[in-house]
Amino acid sequence: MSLPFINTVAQNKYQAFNGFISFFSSAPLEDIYAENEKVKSLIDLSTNEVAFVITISGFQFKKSLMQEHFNEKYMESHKFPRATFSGKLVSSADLKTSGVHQVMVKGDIEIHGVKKTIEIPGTINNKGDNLTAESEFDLKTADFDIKIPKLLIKNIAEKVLVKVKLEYKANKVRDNINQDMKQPG
Amino acid sequence: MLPKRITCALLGFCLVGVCFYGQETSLLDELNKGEEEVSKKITYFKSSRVILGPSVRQLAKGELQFRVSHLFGRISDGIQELYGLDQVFNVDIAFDYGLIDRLSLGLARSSDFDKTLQSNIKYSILQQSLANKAAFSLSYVGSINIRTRNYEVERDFVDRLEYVNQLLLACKFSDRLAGQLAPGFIHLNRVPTTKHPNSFLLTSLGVSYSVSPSASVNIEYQYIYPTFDSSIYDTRKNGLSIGMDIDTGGHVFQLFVTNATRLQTSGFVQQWNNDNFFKGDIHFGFSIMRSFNL
Repeated sequence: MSLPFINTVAQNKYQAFNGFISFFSSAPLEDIYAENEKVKSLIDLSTNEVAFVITISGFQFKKSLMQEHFNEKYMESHKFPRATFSGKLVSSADLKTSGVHQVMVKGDIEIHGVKKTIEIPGTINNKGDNLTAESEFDLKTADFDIKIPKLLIKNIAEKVLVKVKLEYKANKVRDNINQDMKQPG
Repeated sequence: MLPKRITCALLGFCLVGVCFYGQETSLLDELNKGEEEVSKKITYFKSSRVILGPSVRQLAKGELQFRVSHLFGRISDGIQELYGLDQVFNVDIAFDYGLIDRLSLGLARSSDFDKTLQSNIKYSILQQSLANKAAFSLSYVGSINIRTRNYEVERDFVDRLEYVNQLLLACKFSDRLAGQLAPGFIHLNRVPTTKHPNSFLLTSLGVSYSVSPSASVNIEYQYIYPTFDSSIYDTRKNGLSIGMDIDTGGHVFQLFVTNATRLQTSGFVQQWNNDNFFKGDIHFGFSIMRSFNL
């Protein structure tokens, strides 16, 4: 009896090193926008687990003063250098098959030392050897203990739009080990 | 009973899968194992000046900084003069522009008797971003000043010139504490009498302590070496300033008290003009700095 997962073409573990995450907040006086192009992530399609690590000081702003305040005053990146996410992809489709699949990403996100369980919609495009993950969602600064002084309420909005786009490549070495272990007796 | 066989097979696979992954760390742990060094810019001081003297803080490329500094009269003059606030001893208006990340140029004009116009350059020689807390930064600051006053007696242009050279060495000791040591050499082409020196050796000592992410307390001491006539030199008149920086995002406000009577380096280095700090002859002052991105 041949089980579908022994198919040597389907990959299970994917990794991304230069993933893209941006955030944007609009306030009456000033728009704030920053991009991080060094997001690291792992996806394991055999368990549908996903994990992200984002280095806070890797966010690039147009205004260096804004970047300095972001790191030193708001995110305190010397105390909390990374933001992380660990969770699962929930989908009615089989993500191991190639094609575009809609998913719900459920898990714990930790920013500024505060952990929060979130559930956000996303898209996975499985192209066999590589994979693209995209998502757009809102986060509230107050949820993560990020204090915005009343003086700057007109400059910094309380809600932030986060955009995620990552290109993953199959982690072939590990997968071969997995394949061997999975051969039925 | 096909469904049952597949169910059993699936269960069997799952068990194998669980056993294998049970030995592994979670995906997040795997990612966290990698220690990546992202070069972070270290902030030593909240503004481009410690209090009176320049700090190693460099402007970003395309950043235009506007500064207005104000020095009032003596607090010891009492309530009649509103503790010196009624008198303006010195106003300094400055524009500085970051040409590239390491280099900024600027112009400053002082309201002193000579109406000194200062052109200055700040070059960041060394910016050490280290993973551990101790970090160093070395910068050079140079100025060529022109005394622009319309003097009653004709004066050669060369007599109007002043030169300031200073090396700024800053060290960040911890998240909150930074210090700066700045030796300097100043030359004034024209001084009041032949007894007064044309050349000065100066070492400026500054300390900044961040009480909050937006505010810091600073102390600065301008030590002018007694290389000249002791009848003119007075140690107690070396500039001692204590102040506070408040960073509101767009502006940096500096509030301070000092015994210096001039805001520009070529001014307070003429320490015979300064007041005696410990006699209470100190002055309130403030600076407002605003940065624009061009």
